[in-house]
Amino acid sequence: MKSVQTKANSSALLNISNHILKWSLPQDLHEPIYGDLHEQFHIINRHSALKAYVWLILQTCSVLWHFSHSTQRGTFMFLTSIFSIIAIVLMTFWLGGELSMYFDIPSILIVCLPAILVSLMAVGKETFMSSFKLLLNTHLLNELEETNEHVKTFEVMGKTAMLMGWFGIVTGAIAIASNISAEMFASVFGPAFAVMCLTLLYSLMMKTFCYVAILRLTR
Amino acid sequence: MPTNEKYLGEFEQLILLAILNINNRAYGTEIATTILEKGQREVTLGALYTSLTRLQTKGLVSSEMGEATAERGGRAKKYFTVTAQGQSAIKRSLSLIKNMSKSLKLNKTMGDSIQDLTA
Repeated sequence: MKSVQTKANSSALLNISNHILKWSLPQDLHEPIYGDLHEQFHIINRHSALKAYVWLILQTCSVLWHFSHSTQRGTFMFLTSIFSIIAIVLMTFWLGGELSMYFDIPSILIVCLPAILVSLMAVGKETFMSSFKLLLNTHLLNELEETNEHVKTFEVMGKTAMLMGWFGIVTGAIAIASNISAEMFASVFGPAFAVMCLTLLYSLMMKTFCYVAILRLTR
Repeated sequence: MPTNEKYLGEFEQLILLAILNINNRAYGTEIATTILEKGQREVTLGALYTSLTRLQTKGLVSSEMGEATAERGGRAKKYFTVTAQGQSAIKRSLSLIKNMSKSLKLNKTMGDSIQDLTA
């Protein structure tokens, strides 16, 4: 029973390692390096399973460290730009006041849900999913001759997000205008206007993400 | 007289010597094991293959794909061979160490000169 469990753990770990190697290595080196890893792992595993697991994790990390910066440079650049934008946006939120005033779940849903659904409808589930995979895997991107369909995913998503942002603004403005009275104007208008603008803020964020994604796909 | 040819790094020397030790035809695992056994140095496959790729770009080693075996999960081996250029590079590196260490004493208590060690 224990040996069956160990075997299952070994093959699961080898499988994960194989995926990481496939992602990080140049295609001509994947086969020999994974073969070497597989061979030595089983030799060590005969003496100690734990030692073999630790060895495999260290070797996989070493391969990842040595090769991924050259093979997945585009992916790292993409992630760096996205994280930089997120960091700058969060910093401006923080400088502008309390972070909580920038978060409103209904506004997020108004922008993101339609953007994702319309994009799914426009390109189909498969292309939609593979578009995101392409962003994080340079090998897959290099294999493709045409990326038009994948670019369309982000174009549609960005445009729909912007439209929904404006819809949010307009519907919010109508709601405020219909319900506000002269005596309550000063106390109600400010907070209501702020929430109304959040839809546009989220749509701008989504549009920015889509813009960077399109740049990545059409580099 | 100074030469324009670049000398090898320590790890590159170890790799070339390990391949030469295995009849000048070796794959990753064999090279790593030889460096561990003879050089007392543990090598990660990432570092090993990065250096092998660099040596191959410099033309100091060549490679060919070998047979796939079951214990390798059906994956083929990649055999590396030190080229003539690689052999002269390692010769040059070793003779440099020898020349630089001529008549040097390690320290008074040990007695031997470095030249004795590299002879």
